[in-house]
Amino acid sequence: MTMNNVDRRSFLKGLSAVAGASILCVPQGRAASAKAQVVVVGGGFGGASVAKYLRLLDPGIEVTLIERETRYTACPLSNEVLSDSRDIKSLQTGYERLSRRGVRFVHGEVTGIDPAGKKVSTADGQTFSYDALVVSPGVDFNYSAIVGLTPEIADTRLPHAWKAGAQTLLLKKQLAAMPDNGRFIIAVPKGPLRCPPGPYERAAQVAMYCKHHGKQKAKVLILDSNDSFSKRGLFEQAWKALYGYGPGGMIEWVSGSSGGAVEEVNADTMICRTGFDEHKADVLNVIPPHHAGKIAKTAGLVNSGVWCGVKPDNMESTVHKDVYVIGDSCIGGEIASGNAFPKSAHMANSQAKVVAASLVAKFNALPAPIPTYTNTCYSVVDHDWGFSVVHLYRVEGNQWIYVKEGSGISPVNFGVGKDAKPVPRTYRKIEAQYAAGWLNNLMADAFS
Amino acid sequence: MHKIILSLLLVGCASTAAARPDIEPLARTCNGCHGVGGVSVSGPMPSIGGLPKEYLKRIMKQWKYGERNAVTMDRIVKGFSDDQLDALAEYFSKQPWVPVPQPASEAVLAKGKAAVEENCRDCHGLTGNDPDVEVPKINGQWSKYMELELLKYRSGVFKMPHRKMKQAAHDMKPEEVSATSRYFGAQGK
Amino acid sequence: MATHAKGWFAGLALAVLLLSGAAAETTTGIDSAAGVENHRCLRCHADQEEKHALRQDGSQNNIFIDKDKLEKSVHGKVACVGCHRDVTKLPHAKPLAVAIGCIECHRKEHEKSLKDTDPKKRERLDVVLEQTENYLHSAHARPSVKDQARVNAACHDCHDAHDIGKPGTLARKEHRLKNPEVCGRCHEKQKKDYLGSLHGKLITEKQDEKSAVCADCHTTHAISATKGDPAKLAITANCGNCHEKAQKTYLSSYHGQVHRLGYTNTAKCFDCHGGHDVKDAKDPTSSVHVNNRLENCKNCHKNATDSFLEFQPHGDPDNKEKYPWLWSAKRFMQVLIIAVMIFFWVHVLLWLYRELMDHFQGKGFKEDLDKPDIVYFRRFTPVWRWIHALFAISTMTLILTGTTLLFSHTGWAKAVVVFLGGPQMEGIIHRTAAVFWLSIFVVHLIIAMTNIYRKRKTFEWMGGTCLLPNMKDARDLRDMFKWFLGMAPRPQFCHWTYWQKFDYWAPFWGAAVIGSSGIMLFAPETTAQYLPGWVFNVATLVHAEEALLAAIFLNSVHFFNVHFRPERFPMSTTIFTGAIPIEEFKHDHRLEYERLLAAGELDKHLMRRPSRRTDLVASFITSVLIITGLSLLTLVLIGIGTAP
Repeated sequence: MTMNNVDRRSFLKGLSAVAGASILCVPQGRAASAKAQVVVVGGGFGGASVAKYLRLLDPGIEVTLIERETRYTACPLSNEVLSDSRDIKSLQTGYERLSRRGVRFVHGEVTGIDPAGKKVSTADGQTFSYDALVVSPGVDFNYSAIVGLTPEIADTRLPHAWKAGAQTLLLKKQLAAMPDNGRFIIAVPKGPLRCPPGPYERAAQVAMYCKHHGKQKAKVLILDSNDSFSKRGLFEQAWKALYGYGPGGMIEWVSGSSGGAVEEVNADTMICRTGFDEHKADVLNVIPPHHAGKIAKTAGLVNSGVWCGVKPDNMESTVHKDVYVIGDSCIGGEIASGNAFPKSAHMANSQAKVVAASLVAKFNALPAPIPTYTNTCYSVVDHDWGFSVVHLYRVEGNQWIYVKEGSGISPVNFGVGKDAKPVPRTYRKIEAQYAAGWLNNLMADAFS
Repeated sequence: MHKIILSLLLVGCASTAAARPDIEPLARTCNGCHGVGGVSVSGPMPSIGGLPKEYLKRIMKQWKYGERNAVTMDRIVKGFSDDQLDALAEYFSKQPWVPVPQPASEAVLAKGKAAVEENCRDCHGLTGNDPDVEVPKINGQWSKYMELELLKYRSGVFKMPHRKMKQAAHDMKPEEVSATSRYFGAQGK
Repeated sequence: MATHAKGWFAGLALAVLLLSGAAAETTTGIDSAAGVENHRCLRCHADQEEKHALRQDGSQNNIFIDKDKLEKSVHGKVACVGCHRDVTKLPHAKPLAVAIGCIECHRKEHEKSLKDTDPKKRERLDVVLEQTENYLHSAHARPSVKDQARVNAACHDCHDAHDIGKPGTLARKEHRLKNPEVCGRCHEKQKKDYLGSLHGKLITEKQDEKSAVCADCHTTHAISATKGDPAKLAITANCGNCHEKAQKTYLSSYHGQVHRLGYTNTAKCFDCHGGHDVKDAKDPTSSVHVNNRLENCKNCHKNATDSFLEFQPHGDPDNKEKYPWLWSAKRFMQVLIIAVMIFFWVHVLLWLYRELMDHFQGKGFKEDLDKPDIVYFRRFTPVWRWIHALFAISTMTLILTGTTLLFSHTGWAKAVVVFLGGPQMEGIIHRTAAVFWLSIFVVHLIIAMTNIYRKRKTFEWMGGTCLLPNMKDARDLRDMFKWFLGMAPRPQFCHWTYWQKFDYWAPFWGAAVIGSSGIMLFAPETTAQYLPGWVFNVATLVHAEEALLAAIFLNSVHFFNVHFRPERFPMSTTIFTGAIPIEEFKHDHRLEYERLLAAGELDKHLMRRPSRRTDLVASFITSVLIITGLSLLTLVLIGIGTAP
């Protein structure tokens, strides 16, 4: 509590000055007790973070968080559940602590947004007025893009486990039941996708499970719709060292241009087909392509491919005024140079803070704060082998600038060319530990 | 006109605020890993709120300019200007230090204390919380983090410029590392 | 003075010994109450690779302590926190808030030592306390003008407490060589001058630790403002610690004699040689180089002439090659004094022996109580009586004022000069008395010549009433010795005995020698217009030696002959009453008595017994003069006996 008070206190110092100024100079100001109404749609990392920071920075703002579920299961490091090195409970949280901050939690599904009337309505018929709306629905999956895949099949037989929860546990079960020399296929859709390094971390976690559970002859085949992937050098180095990589190794990766793009699956035969080939699997983990969450589409916020365009300064939708889109649904960053915002929990958390600060400034007639977007994402490939990527974006002239100096993956080697030496294992070991710390702090930062 | 007066007032109040006003949004980006106000809730990540300004400045600059190795932070700080790093250091140094005492067994504490008396107390004090000097407080710091940090000092593969700390870490017996970390982690105020 | 200085330096050495001793034995005294052991402090402070810490203002603070030096230093076994008392734990606050209490600690150690049975240790601690007290009364311990909250210099400004070497160690030597550097931190100009000086060059270029550093002249702890007399006196005294011979010769000069009395108005070492910038006399930039020396003299002697250059301020009468005139003068005077004194003291002793023998044998002159003295012989007319009285008074005055200079090393001389009102007043008195003395001498000559002129027709130049020595005196002398030895009866004398004639003529010689040398010294600038400068050296010497001769002779031999021989003891008042009982006159001047009786002139010289009152007055005056004379003799003998 102390920390919250401090952050608030220093901020309120500014506010009280403004309040004083309001009395002096602004004849008709809003009452401090009902300064503004903010409705947040979606209680993932983005939605929870924005609700929390709004209340933290200005308790005068009323915040309503509308979420379909009562408990949330975090995706980061959920691959560790597959290898049995993490209990899924460690990824789960409720919204009680946000409620204690004064966030009004509404269990329901938003089905309609009226940007003109500044209202949202839920499936059970409630409506909520807002001064600002934050939409953070995450991704939804395009099952129809893969022949033979339906939401039901995914739930029961071919789990994507790309939203942590029941499917994660199902996939874990399937892995445990897989024959010792079984084949675990991970089908990766075309990007951009949520958690870009996720599939490759999953491959490592599965391999790790096999290695330690008498399935040394098992194979992990990644059928990728893309031609490269996040932290590739790091993954390949680790795969090679830990599990064997490539032909003869435990892990194999097939790029999109080499026929990695899965187009069709058969849950009965456990065969998946790419444009080139067929692959028989013992466990078939097909991740369907994503798009912005359904409500974003419904509300007409999708305007950039399947994603929602937003303004660099404050994540306001480029479609509707006073509507802000954050998290995996939005698209931002230095898109043209291939440095779009990664779809990660940390990124959503960072975007949420930008929105919160921006709204608080707006409602208090303060100058708009300077936004900074950061991301840190750890991947764990073995108990004592982890690495990370960091991203930094600043905004200049209403444009996102990808700050190369402050971004990048953990080094693969020290030195280049002939002098290159693998980074000492101690570095990997420490990052594996940091990953857990990062997850815990990030969850705390969003949900408490 | 109102806006002008308002912004003047804001500038006025901003200058009296604890830290530069534009630094708070930036400082909040640290919260994801280090907690609100720099109070971490998780073992491997250190709390940073209330650490000495000079210490924070120094290590961030050392990371930035390649004088010190980290596994993650050295990449992050390179994206910030020296002024930003200074302002961040100042901001976090002005936050209260919130120790998170982590329980440890009597045996571990006794072993840790003995090791601390030998290796640590002359700089960090016996409880890791010495108001007299500008050394980072480590009372109730996360013991996991401290263990990892000692690992960095002892491993020989990290550039760690603090010679004395390095020496002290090297002087520790392997079995003292964990006890030392847990001893300090168990200290409260 | 020299012995005093020696003692002082011995004290310094002792202090150092003491510090080491004290430190070694008091680890428990200033121990580590806080429980912070030295090795813990040294972990940071003896770190070769990190000798500096940043101050809050960003400047560098040297925190390095050489462990080796510290452990070898006198404080080597003292706990760090024994002095740095605000350190009660590590890590400690930076910067430390409390200044180090050297004085308090050393005082405490001294107090503790009072209970100590080891006298050596106590003695040492006494010296340290003395150093401490000296410091507290020194200019350094006064508040700084710039910052009243600070003293001009505190202990640590000069001492690096972590590196105070034990005596005889290299650290000690280094500290000594560093002395100009240390003082120069504040006294910049003086340091610059010093580094260009002979002393400075020996230190900086040759690391000659025997060359003088600041503390050798200014002292270490009892440093006083150089404008004051104590500093000037101390510095001059300290020059002699090395330049012993130069100091000795200086102190025998007028400059030095006055200086030694505790006055600084005459030339001191640094007035001529320069202070910090002292240079070799051969150095053309030296203030004592022959080309520059006259300028030096003119600082005091405004009309100094070239002759001044021939004056030898360090003239040594024992150095025949360099100062032949001076050497000769001293030999002559010594021979004269010794010869005269030996002769007359033998004369005195033998006379005493004879009269005592006669007395015990019932012989010799005895007052006949049946025939009380009624008839007296008029021996001196009032004019002579006055002349003698005034002469005696002025002579004694001259002796007193002169010997205070000659024996300026004695305590009595210093007391006398203070009593008289300082050396300038003393000079005035001495010169006034000299003028008076010479005037009397001249007046006496005139009267004597006039008398002779008046009686020129009857005056017998070789007669019994004439003071000119003659053959009878030689015979009398011989016969007296025969009498002394019991070989012949006592010779019979005319109006003047040979010893009276000696008493009379001696002042002629004295007046010539003392008078002429005195006049030269009286007006040095005028004298130097006609005479070479070395005559001052000779004049100073003979003036003093001759005066000594006179002082000793008059107050011993003359007193014996006139007053103390058993027949006369305790005194003869004749010179003040002018009258001598006829019986006594008969006894001492038988031939004159008989001559007058035969010539029928006796009656002319007879007079009535002086009044009782006249007799008492004469007795009183005589007593006073005798006592004064004896006192002077005592003082002179003390002076000679204690001469350095």
